[in-house]
Amino acid sequence: MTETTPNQRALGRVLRASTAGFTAGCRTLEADLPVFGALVQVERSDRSAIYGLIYDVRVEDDPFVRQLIAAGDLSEEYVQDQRQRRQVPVEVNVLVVGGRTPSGDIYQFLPPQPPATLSWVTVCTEDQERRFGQRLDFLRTVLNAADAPADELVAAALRRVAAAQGDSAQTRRYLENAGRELARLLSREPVRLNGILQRMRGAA
Amino acid sequence: MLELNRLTGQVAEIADALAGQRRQLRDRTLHARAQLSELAQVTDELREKLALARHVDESWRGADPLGERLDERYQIPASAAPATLIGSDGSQIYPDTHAIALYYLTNIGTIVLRQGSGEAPFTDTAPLLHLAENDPLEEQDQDRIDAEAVNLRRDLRELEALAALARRERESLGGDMARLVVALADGPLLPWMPQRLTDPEQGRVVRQFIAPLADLRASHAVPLGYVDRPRSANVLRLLHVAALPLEAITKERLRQGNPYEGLSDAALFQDLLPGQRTGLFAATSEINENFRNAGQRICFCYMNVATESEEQNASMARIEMPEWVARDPARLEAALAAVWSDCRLLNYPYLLARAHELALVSHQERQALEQMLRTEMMRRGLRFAESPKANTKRFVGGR
Repeated sequence: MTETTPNQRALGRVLRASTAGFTAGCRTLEADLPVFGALVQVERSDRSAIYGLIYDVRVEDDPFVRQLIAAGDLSEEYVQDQRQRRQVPVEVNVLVVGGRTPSGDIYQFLPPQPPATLSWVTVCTEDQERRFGQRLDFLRTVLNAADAPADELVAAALRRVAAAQGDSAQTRRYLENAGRELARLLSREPVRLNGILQRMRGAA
Repeated sequence: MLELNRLTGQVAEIADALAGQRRQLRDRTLHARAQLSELAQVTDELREKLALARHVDESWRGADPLGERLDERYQIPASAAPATLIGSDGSQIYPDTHAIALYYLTNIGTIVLRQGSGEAPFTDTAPLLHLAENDPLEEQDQDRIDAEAVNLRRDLRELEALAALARRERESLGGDMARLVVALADGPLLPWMPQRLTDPEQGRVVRQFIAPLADLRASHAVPLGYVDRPRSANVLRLLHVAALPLEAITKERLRQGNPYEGLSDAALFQDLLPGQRTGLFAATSEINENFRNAGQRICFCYMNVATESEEQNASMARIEMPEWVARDPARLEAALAAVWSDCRLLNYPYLLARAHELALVSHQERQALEQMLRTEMMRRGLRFAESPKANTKRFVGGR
């Protein structure tokens, strides 16, 4: 089967993957892509999908770029060449938080298999974020993540999903609900809970 | 494996020898510079000597000055009207009798940078895969394509790519001839001819290389060949002849009595200030005579493309161009100004650094290509066997 570029905003392709997370390579950093805490998905040919949250965006070290930085003044053509044309991928690390079955049901636990290398990674639409955010089971996965900055990620992801809910009242309602779920999950860690709630409030 | 601890003494000895060599070269270079000032005037007598040198030794690789003095210097302006710069470079995989198939590959990287546009440049690569023996898709004048033939094909493709892109650029400018289009090749414009080529074969190669130069001229582009760290000594050989009395110019004297042996023109002109170039010369060689007959004699100058003064910071390049560019000083100056501005970042053309990067075939890519070949051969039921040597290398030296 021939794989085509997805019609949603393509972030890049999977470079390496495990069940709990994967790394995507993308060619350039644009103003709104990729963004920390954004929900992304990898779709399979059977219409199932794996969902994840961006927790780290890394620009690889490159001797050529280093030399240009040392050179000082750069014309815009050179900057654009480095950003758009050179094969220095931006690495995006994603924490897997759930998936979608071929019939369209969303689940919030680890999928049975990691995504295949070179699969397209796309940024979810607001509608997809809203649908995914209807359940909050994914919060436990994020809070337990060993490699990701879990507290920052939970707050950033909730802010985004809350903003996708609609008007400000719906956003506030969503955040209050999520806050209650966090209070339940972190009942023994009040200081941590307080830190996350403050971060969530920052953008509410 | 390399036992580095057994080399420490030898490394120190080599460093001592290099220091001695450097001192000696410096003294001889200063002497050559003094001679250059003394013998700078291009006189009728000098022209007579040059003609004689070429006559007694057809393969004498000297220089024919286009100007009136050998020590001319010109300052290239630091700022100039924005130009369109086109660069190309090539890489290759040579035929290897130990590989699974006798094939070769040339890969050409190209870049088009429109100065002042603020746009990302256009970049492209064009790989071509061929059999090195009895390729039904290619005319081959030898039983088997060797490394020299691959180099020649790669160099030709680099020049053809420049010509094609220059034509496209000029078309996209809608016939605007005022915009300067510079086509920069990595290396000399004169092809290096393998010794084994017969005269008719050489004639064919010359025609092949002249065609893209003529195309570039038709596109009103300025082709330049950029040679970094040039080791050539054409001007020093000219200086040698200038210092000889007419009757002393013999083949033996030209070949053995050159007091500047081991020096380079780049060292001679290393005292050029940033952005300065020398006068123009034409290399004297049989190949260049053929180019001259076709109206494309190749000329050259040396230029310091560095931006910092002081001789030790100089970054010397030999820049080659067809005579029709050399005879158009305003366009040549504008083209060199555009190239110099492209050198600001790296003391070397950014354009060529990128073209090289685009063309490069990494070890991993070569392995992936051979895996593709292996798979396709298996699909066709073909037997293939890597030589035991190649196989052994794979497991002992895959680093």
